[in-house]
Amino acid sequence: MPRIQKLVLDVLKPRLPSSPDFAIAIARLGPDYRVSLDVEEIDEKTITTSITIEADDLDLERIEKVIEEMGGSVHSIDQVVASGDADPES
Amino acid sequence: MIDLRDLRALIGLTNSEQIARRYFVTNGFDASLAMLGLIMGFRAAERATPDVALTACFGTSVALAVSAFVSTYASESAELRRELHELTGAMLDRMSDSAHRRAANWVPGFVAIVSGASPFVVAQVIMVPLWLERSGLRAPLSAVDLSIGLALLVIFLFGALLGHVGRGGRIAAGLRLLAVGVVTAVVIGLIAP
Repeated sequence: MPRIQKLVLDVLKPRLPSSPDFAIAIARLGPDYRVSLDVEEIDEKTITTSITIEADDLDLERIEKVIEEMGGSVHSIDQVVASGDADPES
Repeated sequence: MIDLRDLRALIGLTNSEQIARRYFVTNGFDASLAMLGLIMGFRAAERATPDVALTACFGTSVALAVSAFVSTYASESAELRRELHELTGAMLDRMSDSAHRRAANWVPGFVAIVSGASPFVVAQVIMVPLWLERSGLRAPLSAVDLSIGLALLVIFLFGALLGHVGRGGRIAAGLRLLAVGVVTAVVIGLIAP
């Protein structure tokens, strides 16, 4: 079964929740989730971020839902790393 | 619906804990001074019985609570809706399922409950001697005098709380507000018709 193991998302988020709270909320989606949040630009009410998420099997739908619940908006998916299991018959 | 953990998160998101604390102190202090004024008035009008004082104080406490609840709910609701409107403009998104929209719906209710409960609870504490007298318990001092003492104690405690919040001296801050209460009581005693 192919799995997504790394995502880099361009996310616009409100100033609150704070960046650490935002990253922790995403990391809570799985015990092996590793989240790195880079601030790209700070405006009066919003922050443009680049969020890198790594895990053995990322759930993009749940990640987008958590971001939306925290008031964020995914502008683009800038990088995807996926892996497929080797076909045992090949 | 919403559970307590969610509500706590929404309160943190909107920094409403500080706002609720301000309403708690402001409306509680208002209520303690209002009760002090009422009870001083009853003391000056020598024919007023503790029973009459109790009924009037209770009515006033309910009016203060309703006034605080309604005005706080209306103003906080408007403020949070305005903030949400500005944020959705900046995000170019309606943020329909966001915590921010839920906060705009739920947090004003929480702040309003704190704001409304504060004057009511403060007034009931000050009225304890009046309640006790009505239930037949007699103290060495009159219930009205004990209530005045309690009002001054509550005023001192509000000052001490502000001193604690401001990381200053609690006793000094308490004494400052107590002085306001004492001056108010003296003025009422002097000019009451």
